[in-house]
Amino acid sequence: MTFATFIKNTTQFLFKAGFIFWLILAILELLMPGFVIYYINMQLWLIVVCCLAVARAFLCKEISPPKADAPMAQK
Amino acid sequence: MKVDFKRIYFGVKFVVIAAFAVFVVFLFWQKGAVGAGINYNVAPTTTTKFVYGLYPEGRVEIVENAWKIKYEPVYLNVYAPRKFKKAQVTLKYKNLMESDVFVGVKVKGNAPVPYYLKKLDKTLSFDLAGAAFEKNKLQFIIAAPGIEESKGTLIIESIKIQLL
Repeated sequence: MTFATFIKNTTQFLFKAGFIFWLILAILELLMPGFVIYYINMQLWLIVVCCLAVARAFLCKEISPPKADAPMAQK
Repeated sequence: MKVDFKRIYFGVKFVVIAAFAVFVVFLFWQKGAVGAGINYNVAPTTTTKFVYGLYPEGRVEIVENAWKIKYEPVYLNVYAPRKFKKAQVTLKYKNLMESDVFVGVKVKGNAPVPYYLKKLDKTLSFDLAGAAFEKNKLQFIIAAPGIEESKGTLIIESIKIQLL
């Protein structure tokens, strides 16, 4: 694994894990009010997840090979 | 020396998942309030996320590290992670009012006065069997009928709440 792949994979993992964990905590908070919000800033967490999503979008952007031109419609 | 990024990546994964698992266990531990109960020490100078008040603004003024109650009633919301049997409220106050002052806890139901009130004293004990736990919060009230005429003669320096 190269350093670039490591950064890409780690960013992708942190984004996915961050979002899933946020979702789990949000559900727990809805079920049991006060369970999470007194201990953690959920809004800040979501902002971090959004930043990771942006970073992921830049890092994981792969240049897809140009598509072959669609065959021209026959007249 | 060659750095094994694959190993570091799996290490990061393990640490993140383990940290989250530990955090969730910690939250459940807090929710269960395992131990003797919960103590909240509230004063105008101390800030805690678990207690909100005294409120509303305008009825209370902070003067020399104490709450000067100008209008009544005033409220205090306390986070209770689970149901408790008893609440012990210890107040440090100066009361120069001639009429009675009451401290109470909100109760369930549609009673005309939805509070279980007791006369102000240094230590008050409330049975929480019928108390209202709205969104896991207990609401306390301080009612001082006639305080408008004798503005600021009720001063509360600190409130200690023990949920047992």
